[in-house]
Amino acid sequence: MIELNELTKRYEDGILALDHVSYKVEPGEIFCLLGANGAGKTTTINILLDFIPPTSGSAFINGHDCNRFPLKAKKYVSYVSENVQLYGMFTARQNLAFFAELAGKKGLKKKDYDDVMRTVGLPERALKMRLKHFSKGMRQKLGIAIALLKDPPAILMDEPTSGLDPTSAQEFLDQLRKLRERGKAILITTHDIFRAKMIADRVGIMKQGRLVAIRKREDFKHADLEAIYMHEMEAAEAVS
Amino acid sequence: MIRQIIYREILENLLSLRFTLSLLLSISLFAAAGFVFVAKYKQESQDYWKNTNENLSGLSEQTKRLCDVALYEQTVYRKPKSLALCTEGFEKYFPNCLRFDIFSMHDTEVRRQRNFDLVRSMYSTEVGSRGNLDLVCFSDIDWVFIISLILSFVTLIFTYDTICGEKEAGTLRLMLAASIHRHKILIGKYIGVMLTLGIPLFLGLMLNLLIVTSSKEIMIGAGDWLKILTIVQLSFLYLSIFVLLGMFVSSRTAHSANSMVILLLVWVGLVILIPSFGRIISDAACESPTEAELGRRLDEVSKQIDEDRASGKFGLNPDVFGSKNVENPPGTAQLMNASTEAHNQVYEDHLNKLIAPLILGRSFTRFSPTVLYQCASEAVAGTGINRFKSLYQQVKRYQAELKEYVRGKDAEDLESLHLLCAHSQAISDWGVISKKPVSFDTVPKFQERDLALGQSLKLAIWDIGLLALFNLVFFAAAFVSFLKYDVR
Repeated sequence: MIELNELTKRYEDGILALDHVSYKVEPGEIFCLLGANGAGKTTTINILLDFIPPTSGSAFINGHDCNRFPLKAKKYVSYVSENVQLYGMFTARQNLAFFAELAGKKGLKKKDYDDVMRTVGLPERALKMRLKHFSKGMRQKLGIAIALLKDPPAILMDEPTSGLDPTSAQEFLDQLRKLRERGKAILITTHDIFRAKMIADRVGIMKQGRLVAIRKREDFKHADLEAIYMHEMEAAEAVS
Repeated sequence: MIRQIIYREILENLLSLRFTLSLLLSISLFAAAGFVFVAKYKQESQDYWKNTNENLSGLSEQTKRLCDVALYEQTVYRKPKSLALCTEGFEKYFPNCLRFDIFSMHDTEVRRQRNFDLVRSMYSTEVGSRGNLDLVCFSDIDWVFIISLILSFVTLIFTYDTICGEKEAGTLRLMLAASIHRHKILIGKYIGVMLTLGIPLFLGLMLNLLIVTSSKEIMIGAGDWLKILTIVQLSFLYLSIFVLLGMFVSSRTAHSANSMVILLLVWVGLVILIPSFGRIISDAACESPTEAELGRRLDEVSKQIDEDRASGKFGLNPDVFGSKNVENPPGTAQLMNASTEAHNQVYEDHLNKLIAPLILGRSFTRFSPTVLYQCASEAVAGTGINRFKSLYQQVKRYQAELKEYVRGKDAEDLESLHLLCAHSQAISDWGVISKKPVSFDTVPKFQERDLALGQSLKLAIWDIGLLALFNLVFFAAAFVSFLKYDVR
């Protein structure tokens, strides 16, 4: 569903943000990209969303080249950002309606909005609240609600649990599990090893633009993911 | 998808404080402009009819003798224009009346003043300076003032964060993550802002027109309504430039604060500095003739006429002056007419030289959309320099018509010598022009005619074209800039 082939990105200032990165995220799978700041996690998402072009290699969503046919590729993907802001003066419903219509979902009814709010764990009355009164956790949930309304086969999430309190983060992970059950291919970038261990089917460990390791759930289910992460990072350091 | 973006843009703006404030500002300014205009128009209208009636009654008194009609110094006043509501066009700096007889213009205010100090307003009959055009960029509070100065700034307040503000809020990434072309977002935002701006503008204009039309003194004809509609369209064309400028700068900056500062500087340059500096440059490039120069040229002409007379060109005895040349009335008339014609030419050249700096100044300042908008609006409304030039030409045509009338009536009188000349003594002593009475009804009367919309548009076509060009350039710039905009 999401596929990266030898994806490389070198910025104008010479920094190599991605170095021949390749992996696939299959339907019904949650793939967590772990790495320090500047490892290339967000660059990957930026290329998948055609915010920046790759230097070489290619990225695909549902078989569509993200760089050559970005509009086709973006039809099959939703994006949840690190800090979902949305339009503060609008109500939750107005925000949902706007982004859903941008995604081509027209003629949604009240029931559709109520359902999606329930699914993400927001009270229905929140539909009429202005976003400026939402907490960060509520806004993150609304971000997922937007992604759900579009109902694409792939979802990209950039540090989605950053800044969430433990309860909100837990609720968020529950939502992700539901999405996985619905067959979505989910790519998450995060520093949060603890939550990655809880939710990921596979984790990819990135360091300075390179994907240094991919671990399956079986590898870290009963192990210390942080130790694996640190080990891989040190090994990568030694190689470089 | 554009529809959703337009809807969102409008809704977001309508919910914002800046919209409420701009609405209040617009409504209060247009209302104030309406009340001020009605009060001013009433006064000007009363003065105009009083002065015009005095002029006509004076003309009526002269009809006892045709020669008196010929020598009567008429004073034609500028009629107050209902479309000065849209743009007053510095009219108060132009002469309010022109004086003339059938031989020459006696517009002394025009002749004597230097530069546009010359152009004095006198909607009362007193001549008094009300300002110096060198020091002003804007005229009274009228539509063009409100739109070109206030609403252009309001437009920037609506657009400075159109792109970079969305980037700061993170909503631009979300929008572009959808399957939508960037140009659709840009066009949607443009239309959204234009429609939002249209609300305070439209409500303000409606209120203004309501105030003006509810006054009994002010009549707005069908042709005027068309011109008003054209000026409204010009206003949108003008404001559109600032919308696109705001979007362009917003898509070149990462932070809305930077965008606002840059736009503020550009706005000051386009709306304040260029119109002001252009005039100063034009004054330096095109020196206005002085009163002394006029006097010198008149002396030269008089000297030349005397030389011609001395050389026997007019068949007059060089040693005998004035009405003593009884032996040769045609020669005296010829001399008088040659002298009048030569002096008229000097005065006309002087007037053209006085107006030239203003025209040149406007040409220099056409880098500014504000000046283009002012010029185009003045041309359509029939105010400003074009109106003054038109009035002057109309008076000259009327002068020629009246002269032909006098000539025709004079030809019917067998006792007259049929020698039209501005020589009162020759008229009284020799009867060079008929002294018989004429019917007042048959005497042509002056009536100022407004240009039709088509003719006005012809005058404004270049300015409108340049306004459209500004729009195209800024749209292209905003388009290219947004396509390359880094949303990270």
